[in-house]
Amino acid sequence: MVTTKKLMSLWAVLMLGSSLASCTTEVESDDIDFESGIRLTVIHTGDIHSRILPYDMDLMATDERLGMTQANEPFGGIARAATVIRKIRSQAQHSVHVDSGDIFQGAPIFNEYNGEVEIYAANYLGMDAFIIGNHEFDNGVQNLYDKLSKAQFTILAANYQWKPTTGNDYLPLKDVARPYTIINTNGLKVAVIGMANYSSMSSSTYGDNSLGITVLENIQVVQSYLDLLKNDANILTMVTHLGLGEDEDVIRKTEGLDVVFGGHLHVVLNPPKIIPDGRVDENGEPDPKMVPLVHSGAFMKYVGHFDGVFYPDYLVRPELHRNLVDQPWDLTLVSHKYEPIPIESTIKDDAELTLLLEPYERELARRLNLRHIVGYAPQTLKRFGTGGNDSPLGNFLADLMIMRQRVEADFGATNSLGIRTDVNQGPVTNDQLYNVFPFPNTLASMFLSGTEVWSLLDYNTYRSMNRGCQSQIQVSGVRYTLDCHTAKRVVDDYLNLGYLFEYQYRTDAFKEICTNPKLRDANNQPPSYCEITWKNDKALDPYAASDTIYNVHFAKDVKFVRGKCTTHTDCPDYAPGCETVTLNTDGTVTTNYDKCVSSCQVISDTEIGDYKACIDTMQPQWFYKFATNNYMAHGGSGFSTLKYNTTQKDTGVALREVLIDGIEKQRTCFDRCFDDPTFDPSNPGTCKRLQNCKDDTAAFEARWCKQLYKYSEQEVCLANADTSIDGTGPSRCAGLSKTTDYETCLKGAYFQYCHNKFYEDDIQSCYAQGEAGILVDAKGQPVPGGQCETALAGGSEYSRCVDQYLMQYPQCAGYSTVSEYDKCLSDSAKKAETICRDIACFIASTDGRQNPQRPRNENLDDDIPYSNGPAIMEALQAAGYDACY
Amino acid sequence: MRHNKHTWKSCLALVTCLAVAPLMLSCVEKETHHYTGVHSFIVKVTPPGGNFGTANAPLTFPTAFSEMGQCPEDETCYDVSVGAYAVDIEGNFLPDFNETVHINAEPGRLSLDTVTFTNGVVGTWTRDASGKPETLLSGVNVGMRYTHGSTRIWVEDTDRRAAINGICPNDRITEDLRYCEPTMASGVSEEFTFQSQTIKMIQYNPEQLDGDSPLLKEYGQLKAQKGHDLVVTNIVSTGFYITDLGDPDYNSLFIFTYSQPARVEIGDRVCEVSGGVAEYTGMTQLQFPSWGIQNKERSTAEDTDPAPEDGDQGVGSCVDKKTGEVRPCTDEEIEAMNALVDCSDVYYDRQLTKEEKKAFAYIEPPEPRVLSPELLALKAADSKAGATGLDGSKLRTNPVQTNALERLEGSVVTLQDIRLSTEFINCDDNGNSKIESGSAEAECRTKCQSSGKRCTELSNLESYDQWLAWTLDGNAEISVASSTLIADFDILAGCYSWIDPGTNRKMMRCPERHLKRLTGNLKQILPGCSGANSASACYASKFAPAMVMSVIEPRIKTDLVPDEVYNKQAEAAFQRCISDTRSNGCLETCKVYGGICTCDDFAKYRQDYPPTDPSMPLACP
Repeated sequence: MVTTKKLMSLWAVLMLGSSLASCTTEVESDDIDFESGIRLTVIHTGDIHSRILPYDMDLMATDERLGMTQANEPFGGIARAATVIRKIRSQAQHSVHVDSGDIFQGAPIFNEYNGEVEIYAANYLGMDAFIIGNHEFDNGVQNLYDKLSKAQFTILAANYQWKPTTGNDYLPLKDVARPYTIINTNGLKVAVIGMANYSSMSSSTYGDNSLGITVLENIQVVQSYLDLLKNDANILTMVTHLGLGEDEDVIRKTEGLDVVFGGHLHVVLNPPKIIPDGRVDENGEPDPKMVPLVHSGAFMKYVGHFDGVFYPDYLVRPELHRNLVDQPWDLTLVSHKYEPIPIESTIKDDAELTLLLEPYERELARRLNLRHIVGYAPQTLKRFGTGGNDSPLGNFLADLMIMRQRVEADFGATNSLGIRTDVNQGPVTNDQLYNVFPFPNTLASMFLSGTEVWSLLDYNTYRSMNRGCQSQIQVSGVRYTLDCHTAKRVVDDYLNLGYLFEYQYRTDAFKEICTNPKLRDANNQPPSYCEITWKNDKALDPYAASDTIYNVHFAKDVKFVRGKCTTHTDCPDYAPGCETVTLNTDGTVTTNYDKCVSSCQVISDTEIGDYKACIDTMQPQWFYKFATNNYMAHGGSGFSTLKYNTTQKDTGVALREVLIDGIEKQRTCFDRCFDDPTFDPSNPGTCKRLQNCKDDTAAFEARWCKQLYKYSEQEVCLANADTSIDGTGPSRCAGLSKTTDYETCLKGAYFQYCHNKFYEDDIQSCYAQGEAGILVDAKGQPVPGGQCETALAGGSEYSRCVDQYLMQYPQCAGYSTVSEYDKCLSDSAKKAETICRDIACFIASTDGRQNPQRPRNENLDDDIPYSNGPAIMEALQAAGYDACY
Repeated sequence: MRHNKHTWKSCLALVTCLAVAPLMLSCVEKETHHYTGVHSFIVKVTPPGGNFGTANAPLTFPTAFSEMGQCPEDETCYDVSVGAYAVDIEGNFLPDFNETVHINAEPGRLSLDTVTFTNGVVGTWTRDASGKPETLLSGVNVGMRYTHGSTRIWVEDTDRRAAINGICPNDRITEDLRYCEPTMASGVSEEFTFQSQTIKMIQYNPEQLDGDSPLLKEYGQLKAQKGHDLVVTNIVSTGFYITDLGDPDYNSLFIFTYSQPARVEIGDRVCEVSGGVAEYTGMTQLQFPSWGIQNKERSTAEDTDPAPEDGDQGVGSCVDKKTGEVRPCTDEEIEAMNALVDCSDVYYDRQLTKEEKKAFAYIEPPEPRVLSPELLALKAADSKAGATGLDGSKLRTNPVQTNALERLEGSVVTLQDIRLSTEFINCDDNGNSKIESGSAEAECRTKCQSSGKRCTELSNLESYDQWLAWTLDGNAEISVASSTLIADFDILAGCYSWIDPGTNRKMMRCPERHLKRLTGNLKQILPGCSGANSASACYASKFAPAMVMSVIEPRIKTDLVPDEVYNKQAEAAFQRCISDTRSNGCLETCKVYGGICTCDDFAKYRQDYPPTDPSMPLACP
């Protein structure tokens, strides 16, 4: 077993070595002739979210348009990104690497190592500056401090004012974070102002808080540092984890920025936006400089590559410098290019970083049993439904939550964004379920009155309104309509009265709106969405404050689903005679059950078809047992109704466990074969589902073989030979080691001996000859010095030594010469056969339990200004744009 | 001159001392050199008449490269002469630089990709006493195209070259020791000022009419210009449409905001809108946009939306009108403040009165363009040829490259005398909201949407809110989008639905319905090409969709004008058929398959949708 301690010391040795080896000589700014123009290359990453290792995903159209190809799965991986970054930076004469934050949370490696690997990997990348994102705090301030204090890059947060250190009340982060840094890249001084996140950390927004951070106002902070730094740096940049809207706002209201690199929303801006800054001329007229705003996506899916050419400002904008001495070092961006480089399997891993990550990867797989196959998904299970309807994955999870032993709730809900990714078609592993639920959220229960249930669903509709009416919760046991159209009308009307709805989300907001004379029509009637809940009879009660009490609901037709039934009398709360019967003109009869507390109704399920269940109308005064996650129970995502509920119980069972248990309890794929009448048990091939399971599982196992033995140099070399970044052929791989027992045996004995004895001498002399240009190959042709290693592979003392022992060492004779990789491959089909016989087929369905009614413009001619103000990115989040910020 | 030179040799020696082989690479990597080689290029250009253009007198947008000095008819060309010389980091001229490097325009395209330095220069220059180039006498002739706004020509050294004897200038050798890294030396020209963008520059591709926008992947920036009034013509659930009143064709554009945009109304004057130019399913749009508009009410309101307060709270604080509390502005408020801008200064050099402001803020949207049957008939030819859809199903669409409708993309158009789908079928058997390619689902959709039928696949309707309609002669097909949301028009109202016992699919039959008029913004899309980043990539894909689908997005209720008289009669006939069990010989069948009233109809229906259950009847008993 590899312990964390050992791993850390390995990093320490290598990182120490690296820093010793850098032969640094700095160029002074004075040496540079800025008037000739200067090119700065910026590597931009952000929202890495612990995606250190490559991962599978179904590409979105957005990714394909940015040049990714599904066939090049798995995507991401910091070792591949390192190859790209090192190449770009080794070419550029002046380069910096900035990261927009949220390097933590989102993959099991974070759950196990709390961010240690992420920071070490970033050190290896040679990152220059990093912004604190909201997820950096996920495992607490102390953890963040522990990890960041190992960072070899600058940690930035200009907009965090740290609480003064007093006695025991010590906030360690203050020691590692700075407001800005000036990076000297080969004589060019690039200032980076860092703006950390505040919008997703509600606790940090106002005043004093447990983080000890007061968040400062964006514009003032940025402008003050721009003013401070303008004489100390050639180029002024800002790196943020604020969000797109905020980034744009800061640019528009400040003066002096050259380029901005943002994150938080997981989007790629290609091309970058170009935003005018806030400069005004001496007459107060806008005279802006155009500032590119770059966002480079998330999850290490892309490496942002920005190139800008800068010239002295007095040459570019001479009118601003008329009466001043020329300041050639004060540079301005005049033209730029940007490319997000997709990180796919076609890019070679950086060998050194791969070796550093190997022990973590192996240990992680062992500890979490990541490869364990929990079930098989015959088709991809989406976390979002189409058009905002219920989603298969969401329904499945919510159903499991309410059915969980000892919870057994009437209904349940979990926040949609807590489910972070789809479950792809194929074998479902623990690893994949970690990606679905990276958070350690647990299952909680409590009792809610019917009125509270309604208010919960109203609030959810309000939250979903600006997100394409895409429900922000996934539910079970309840069916309702999200009337986003009404919600939007109410919010607009409220805003037109001059109030902001989000600050007033409470019932008296509705009262206000339904009684406000400004909103009455010609007949003194309130807007049509106002429902009368009570009418006072002034004749009976002359002292009643008003005639009518109104209410407004955004969630409509709230119903609870009980057990299955065949007739109405199977439903315990069905009262015979509750139906309304209408006699039609043609003599037929229509029966309506809307007034019934309970009745037996048909539900259409996409998987099991139509079935009948008792449907109860919601009773305001009844109590319902509610299952949710502890995040929502604590009032997360604004569900404050739940926060103060005193009947709360936290089961302590992780939602991930609930899901795993639930999948394992599903019927097996083999069992499901019998659902198909054409299935012939004597010929398992006739069951398509089973066959698919075997094929997919075999492919999964085979891919794992590649993963497992990627550290065999020869296999890595061969796998990358045709597509390697340098375009070299497979012939280069011949001399490299292979993972066979035989070779391992040999290596252990003599490889090192040969290496020590001959290799260093040979290569030294080769280089010496190469420089002089006198090395010749077997045919007498000059060999460029650059090919010493190839030349040495045949004919040198070293290679002769290796050959000799490979051939002659007799103790190794009995060992297998079949490589582990080949063995693994041949086993994968057999394994798949066994696995698919026993595992569950994970099937989920939708049944129309959430029915969204999107906002529509019904009266475009009547001058109602529309003002829903959806921050675009919030909406994109709802659209499934890598939704986790 | 100070030089702190570090060579490969000295670096290697250090590594060898440490005897840690892998660190050789990091040494090359981490080292910050003082380069002795080329660092920058000084780029000079000589435009015709020495005119680089100014904000007030910009250069015309060039749409073509000249051939032998001649500009093709109806096109605009712009040729310049380019010269350059190489310098080191300290600005010293490098007469030894003899390499071929890249040349390009930002933004726009050039007729050349590369230029070659000879003795440190491109072109002929006068020299100073030390031999350093001074003034460009003659350079390389370069054509510029699709250049707009502020443009500069780049010269940059970005290609690797073979290492000779393992030696590279400044030790910039690749890890495999075979190549020299490029110097990345760069230089840009003086600034040209071309015309600001117009919608037509974005929409009109002179090389291929329905090819990509020539400005694809560039940053689109449209601003109020005299003679190019921009007006909002439609707001839909994912964005809004704008039209430039200054151009008759290629004058409209979709602005993609994902969800319904904040505070934008039909008739608003657009002062500025910007975003990345993208092709989404073949339709040109601006994505991740920012915009500023004028609105007749809000731009002239006495009490504008929450204004920033000065004082202790600083910029970015707002007063809550209800509580009087001073608090940070919300995103909504900031967005609203940013979105409302004044651009009257482009047109007037004085302050406008309130009435003038109101008139200025609102622009009467353009009259819809009438889509004549002739224009639409282009589809017919292709429909008979039977273009194949992405999933193998047959779709009737406009042939690519001869698409006369492309010039109207995004415009408000109107069509007369339309008949609607009378048949609907849900082919999405597994309920995943997707029609799987090559499956029974695709076959089902092909049958539904094949020539001669008036059928819409139901999952398509549910997912995209789109249904099919035809001109009365049946030749031209059009899709109608968002009718439910925008116009409260329910295409499924009054239809009879049943689950077909043979196939277990949901079927619907509706009365014949006609529209007298259908108006809306025209979308020209390549179905299923959402993943391709350009129309050409889409054409070149394995699906090779040889068609463009035309979709109309209505704006307001009155955009759909039903033919009340006709529809009433058809409805009555339809109801009679459903309820009258005596009308024909297959009484029971008529009950089960609502709306199929004759045995002939039933036989045809069964032919189109054969039952999976063999015990089901194929014809009337």
